Amino acid sequence: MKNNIRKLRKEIGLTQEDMAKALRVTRQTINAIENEKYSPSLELAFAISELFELKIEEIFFLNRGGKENEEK
Amino acid sequence: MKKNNLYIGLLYMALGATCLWFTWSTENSIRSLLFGFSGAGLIGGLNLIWKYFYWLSPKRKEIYKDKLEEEKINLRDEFKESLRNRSGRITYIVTLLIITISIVIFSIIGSLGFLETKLLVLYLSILWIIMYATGIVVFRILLKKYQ
Repeated sequence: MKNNIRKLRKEIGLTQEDMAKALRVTRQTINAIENEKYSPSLELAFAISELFELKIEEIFFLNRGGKENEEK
Repeated sequence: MKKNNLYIGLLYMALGATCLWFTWSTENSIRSLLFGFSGAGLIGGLNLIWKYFYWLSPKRKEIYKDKLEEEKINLRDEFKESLRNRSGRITYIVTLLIITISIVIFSIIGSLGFLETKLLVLYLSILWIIMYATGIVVFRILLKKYQ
């Protein structure tokens, strides 16, 4: 599962620490998701989409065709 | 900090003191074990009581609140939970391997006549079977919930 969380987070000027606090998870979780080493649960994915005020599919996408989605 | 910690600390100390009293007043083969229990009870209890009064201080109230929140997040964090599950699985496999190797080594030692290891080998074999069977049974029970 790919995502553009790092880009979105930097756009709104949040640190990993700030984001972790807002989502009530650890900084390591944010780091693992950003580096695509861990796919978050549906619950956390919804919390992330709420934080960025975006739809889930605008943040997360499958590897297949991911780049195209990212450019859109 | 919850008052429960103080009570638990006092209970530990009371148990530790009781074990210490038994250690001094009786002459038997479990003295060293009781002495160990008394040390664990007294030191563990003292530690809990000290922590209770340390965090009770009003100037540490905010720090304690943050600490509790951090502990809560660490405990419920889904990524750490998945790591804990993986670490548990690896530990389970490593333990099974260690027991298997130990059975082989102690069997060889026993058959060469260096030591009497029959009971130990039997114990390790039973432990291996229980661990292996428990792994399968627990998995099946968990799976059954979703059928």
